[in-house]
Amino acid sequence: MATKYADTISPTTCLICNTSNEPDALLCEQCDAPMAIVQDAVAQERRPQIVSVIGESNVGKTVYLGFLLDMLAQRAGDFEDVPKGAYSVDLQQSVISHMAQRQFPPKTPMEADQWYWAYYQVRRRQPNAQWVDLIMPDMAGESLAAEVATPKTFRVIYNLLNKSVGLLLLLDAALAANGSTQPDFFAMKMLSYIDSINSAKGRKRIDTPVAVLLCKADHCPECFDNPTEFVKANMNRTWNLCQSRFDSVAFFATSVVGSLGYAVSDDQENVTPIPLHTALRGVIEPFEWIIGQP
Amino acid sequence: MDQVIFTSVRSPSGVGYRIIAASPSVNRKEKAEIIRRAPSHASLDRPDPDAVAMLAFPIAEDRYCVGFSQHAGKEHTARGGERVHTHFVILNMQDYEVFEMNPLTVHAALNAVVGGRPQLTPPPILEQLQLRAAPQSMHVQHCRIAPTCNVEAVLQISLAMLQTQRLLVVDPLDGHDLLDQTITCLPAALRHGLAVSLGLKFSPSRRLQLCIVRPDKAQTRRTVAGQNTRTFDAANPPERKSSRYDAWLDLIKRRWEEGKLTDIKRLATDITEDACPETLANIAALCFDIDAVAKAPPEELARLRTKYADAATAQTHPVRLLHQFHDAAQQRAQELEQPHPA
Repeated sequence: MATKYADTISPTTCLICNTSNEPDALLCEQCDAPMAIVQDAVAQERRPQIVSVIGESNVGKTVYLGFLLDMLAQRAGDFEDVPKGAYSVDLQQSVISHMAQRQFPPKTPMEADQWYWAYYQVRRRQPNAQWVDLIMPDMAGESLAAEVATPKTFRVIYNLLNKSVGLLLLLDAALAANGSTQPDFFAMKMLSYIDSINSAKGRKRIDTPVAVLLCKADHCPECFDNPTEFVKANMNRTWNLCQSRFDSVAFFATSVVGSLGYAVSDDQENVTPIPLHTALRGVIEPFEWIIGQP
Repeated sequence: MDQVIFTSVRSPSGVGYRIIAASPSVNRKEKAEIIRRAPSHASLDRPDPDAVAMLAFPIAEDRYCVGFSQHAGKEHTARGGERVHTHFVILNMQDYEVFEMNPLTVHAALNAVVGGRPQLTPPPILEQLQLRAAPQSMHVQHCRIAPTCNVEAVLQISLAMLQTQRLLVVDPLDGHDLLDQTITCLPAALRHGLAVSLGLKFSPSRRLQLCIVRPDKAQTRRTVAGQNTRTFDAANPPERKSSRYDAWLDLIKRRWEEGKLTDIKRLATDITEDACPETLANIAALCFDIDAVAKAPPEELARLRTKYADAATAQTHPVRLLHQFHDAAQQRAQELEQPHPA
């Protein structure tokens, strides 16, 4: 994946929305993206590329992204990475430390200034392999849903998706396997939103690579055997839309949690899922595929 | 009045924070504005189950939105923290005037209806909400000065609002009295455009003009950097800098020290169209002259009467104040005509 931009970056101009900010601003005044990203990009003298992790609320975006970053940090899949700034490690740390205590990480708020942003340099551990600068924000699923329902409600999401060079679309395979149409409809909405963004650019078909991740696949192991067939069978509407409009789509089965326990207490009406241990499957492969796209 | 409920529930159409119910006449643009600003997970300043907060802002098409936020049990995904539930009411300007254009008055009325009773399974289409202002807030006579309030803090926050600055106020108290007194001192012309929160964590994405928070948020202060938002410590207000609003603020301070907050409220409520520095300075000068005329010697009385002889025709001052001046001048003239007791 080659760096597309070679123009100079201003230390006060937001990379996401191009708004000019005060020199001491920590967040962009317009879209709330952290200005540290810009300052780190300036230090690199090249413009980073955005890979967005998108999906419905509670599908597991935060957990997936946290483990992906942790695997990269541990040089899984022959990758090596360098976080640019301590803020980039916050998400990884939050996810790993919560899971180590057998808790899911806290819910991501809708307020964009509360989102985690990770800025990493990644490359394969091979001679002459090039570094790729990647920005991966952890957006709230509710904000994504609101933006898709009424475009420009959250300008930051519009700008992020508009500038993304790759998308990781997370869908709840466990729900779909149980007969729920919700993941299928959410994916359709999301893809049609991306389609409309790209149509505005005059493109007939979308060439942005989209990795569709079938999350919580440990609940439906048949996913791992053939994710494409799983989507055809259980999320047929999404499959059809991908065929009609997207040039570069791949399907992956993903699982992070090995086994779950469920806790209840007398004073609590909700059942609390407890991640008893982690068993990572299919976490790095979608990222590897995105990185490998031309 | 239209109403909207924003919270996190699981339903066949989705999970997480969203508008779960709304009156039919709330349009798409208004809903988008509410979603953009509404508090989501862990947004209340206090984590306690009984914490409440207020969010108020002007919304599209000349309407004003006030939200009552409260916790509503554990969030259903059980990923830590309380579920935040916000019940919004949308008022047209006529309705808002009934509540003296004070979002806290609306909030108090909402509290009486929904406080402690968050709706998690409302019908998707809500009927109009009948809200009634609490009786004590309907009469200016009941206006009181909160003993905990620092007049300098109120004046400086008022000044920032008059100058359309954005302010993050750190108040060691709950901030309610401080906000109430500040709104009381604000001309009505400004109140309908005020975007304000109380009891919510500061979030730049809410785009508020005034945000009152507790003082233990060092992170908040860092977030303010570069956001065109000034941090203001209500417990230790800095010295007030001179401005074009000095006459108006001096009047407020004098009335405050005299214990006459009712006068300020009445004055501020009357200023519905123009709150520019010149207008406020004219009003303040007239009020000072009304004070002066009560003890004016004959020459001074004559000078003041001449000064305001044509004011009614020129329409430079509120009619009510001019009547008050002329009544006071008449009374003073009668006093001066009476022979002094030996």
